[in-house]
Amino acid sequence: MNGAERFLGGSLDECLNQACLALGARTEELQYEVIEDSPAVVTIEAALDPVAVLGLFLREAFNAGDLDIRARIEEAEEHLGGELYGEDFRLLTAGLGKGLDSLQYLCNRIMNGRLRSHAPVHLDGDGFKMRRAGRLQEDAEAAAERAIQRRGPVTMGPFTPAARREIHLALADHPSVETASDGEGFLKQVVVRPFRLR
Amino acid sequence: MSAMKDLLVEIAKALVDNPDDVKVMEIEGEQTTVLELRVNNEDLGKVIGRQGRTARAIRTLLSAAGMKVSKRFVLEILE
Repeated sequence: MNGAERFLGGSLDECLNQACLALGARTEELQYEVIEDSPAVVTIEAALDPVAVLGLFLREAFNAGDLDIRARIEEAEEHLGGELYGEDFRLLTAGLGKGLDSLQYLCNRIMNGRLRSHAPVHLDGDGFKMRRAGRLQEDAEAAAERAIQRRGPVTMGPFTPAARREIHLALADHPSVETASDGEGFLKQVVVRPFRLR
Repeated sequence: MSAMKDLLVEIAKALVDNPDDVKVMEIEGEQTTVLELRVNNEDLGKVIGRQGRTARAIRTLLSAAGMKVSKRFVLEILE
């Protein structure tokens, strides 16, 4: 358990209550191990469980918003994956997944605030991000063609950071154009322009 | 109370250090609903974020979820 702390009490419930107070958590957000269980004293090691924290936040947020979306959370080696599904998931993938990227960004902010360290949260559903990457690559290549033909910049977007990354990557090794993000904040445009003639 | 207001409350409470101080007022118009978010002064940075990124992400998410009820939601963060 990452960053586990010890709690002592007369019963397991007492230990869990103390852990909840100290960690600012609800019982269902904890992972714990009983270290000692004698009639006089119970000792546990407890920490926040990132899978539970993320799962509970998403469940309560979707319920509050009356959204038919559910999440399956899995801890992968380098990220915390949330596979989303349900009738209303399409609301998050509309407009190239702006809603999905926003929710993912917020989940990461929330996890940063609650856990000392955690793997980055990746949200997806039914392979949406893979399909989006393919589409953005095609759009990026088409924009590159237009920029070369008109010998001037072509502006795409605005896009979320995740979508911009796909475009920058798609054209990173292009022999005749370069890309740059333009604007401020969460949504920015991407400018595709031919290399300057030297 | 609308679902979008409840959604905003959940997100704001999860972001801040003082969840009991999160208050949302809903001002309903015909096509647009304004959601006024108040948080503890210490938590303003947490709901706005660097370069306003967190606020922008909340706005984008509310727009996406708002499509379900075909309404526009405007988020105002009050200081």
